[in-house]
Amino acid sequence: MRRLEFQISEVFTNIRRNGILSLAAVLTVLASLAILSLFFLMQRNLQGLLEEQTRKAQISAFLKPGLSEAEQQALREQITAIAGVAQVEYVSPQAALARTIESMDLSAAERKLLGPENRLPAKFAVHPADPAGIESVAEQLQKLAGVQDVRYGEKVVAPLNELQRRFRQWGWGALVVLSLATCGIISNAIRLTIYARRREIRIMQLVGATDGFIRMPFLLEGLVHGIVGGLLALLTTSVLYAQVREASAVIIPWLKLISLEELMPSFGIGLVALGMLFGFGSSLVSIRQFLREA
Amino acid sequence: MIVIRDVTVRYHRGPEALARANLQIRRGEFVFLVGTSGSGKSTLLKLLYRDLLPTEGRVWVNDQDLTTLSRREIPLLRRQLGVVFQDYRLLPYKTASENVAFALEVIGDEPRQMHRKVMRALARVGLQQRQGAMPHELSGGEQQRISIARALVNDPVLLLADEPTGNLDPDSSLGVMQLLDEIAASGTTVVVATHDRHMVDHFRKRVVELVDGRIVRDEELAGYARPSEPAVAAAPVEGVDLAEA
Repeated sequence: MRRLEFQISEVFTNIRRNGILSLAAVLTVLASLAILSLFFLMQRNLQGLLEEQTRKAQISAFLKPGLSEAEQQALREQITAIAGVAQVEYVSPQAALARTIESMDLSAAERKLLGPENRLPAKFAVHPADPAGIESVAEQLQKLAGVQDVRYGEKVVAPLNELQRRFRQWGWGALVVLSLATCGIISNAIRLTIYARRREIRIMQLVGATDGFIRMPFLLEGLVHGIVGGLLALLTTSVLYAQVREASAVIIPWLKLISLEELMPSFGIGLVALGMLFGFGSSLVSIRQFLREA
Repeated sequence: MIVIRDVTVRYHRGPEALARANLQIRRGEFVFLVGTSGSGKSTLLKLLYRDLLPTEGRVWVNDQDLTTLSRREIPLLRRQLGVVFQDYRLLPYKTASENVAFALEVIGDEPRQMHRKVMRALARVGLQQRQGAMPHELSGGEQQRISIARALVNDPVLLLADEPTGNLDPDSSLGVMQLLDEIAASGTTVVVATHDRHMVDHFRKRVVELVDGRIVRDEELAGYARPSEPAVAAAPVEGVDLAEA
């Protein structure tokens, strides 16, 4: 207990005494984590954008002409029973025509060109629970007796799904690489603080300090650098991201960026925890290496 | 106390820093290790505080075989020893008494006991009144005394000093060497590596001479020079009369 007290007091003395190096370590954690978190936010936004586009995808199951109401109801139940179907909506030929006219924004003269007869078939608009499972649901719909044809914008949805899958992999891969680089940078900054105190470490060894005793203040310092750097990174990221979001709302109004509040508190806790982990981990690796070589 | 048997040390395939050395030192003895720079004095001391492992041979200190000591056991060995260096190795941001207390802090001594031990060590080196001074406020001789106090504070069985007077003027050197002599007289084994010819000649203790890593002389109550070599006249440096000291 007495030794821990001594070590904790040494930590704050050392941080004060090695002010510039401590500041450099904190700034390194701040810059590295801010870059990492901004990359994470960019990835989340792109991911969200892709997911939204895919979510909009729906399957149109066109019905064979002449189905009775009872047959339509039975078909609806069959569709609802398919695994992966979230929602089924009946669209009558009249409703389909009205939606087409609305979506194409046709003028009265243009509407006349369509003629008096509505040739559009009735359909079920089917929403898959998982956009990635749209193809499998479409295949099963095609097999149903009352269904004449199935369309789901396969030319758009399939590449979008593939892009999303790859982006998820690449995004995580890039995050891992960036995290390792961050660890390396922080580790180097902490190694500098250790190197600056090599004389003190040597004296500790000569008077009989154990490796654990020598390590402890450096680990605590790493933790302090990590927490302070993490908090500052959170502050910096919040300010920068709010500015980007504000600017994007004016320049690209259709682009809905995720608000940071949506990600809180897990984003904030995660960032500070990451700072602690990087600070502690980098200190542990550096001081162990230093003591092994000493 | 110390047994060195057939010890050879080689640094990275280089020449032998120590070659088949054999040495025994009894408890309470005062021994000078002499020789020119690079003769192997510091290497021999490093073996004794287990900063170095011999390439061949065995080393025992206080009945412990240092060649079989695990990394975890090294701090325990060092708590039984005191080591003093030419450059004092004081922490510049701690006061004299804090520097001495540092050796006790690392082993988690009780604060009250610690204070008592620190004051006793400072009194032993005659610097009790300078306890609050920072190292830069102390003279070289005083800094070396503080470093000796730090080495003594744990009541070591063995005190190792590597060129303790190397940075000091003759007056301070004499004071430091007298202090080490008193420590040996109180029962602590003292081994001093030095090429301070005049101190060795003045104190006339057991002298172990090294040349190119080989022990070429081990003589009781001896001077710096081998009997065949011409001795250097007394009163070596102006202002100090060693005969009177």
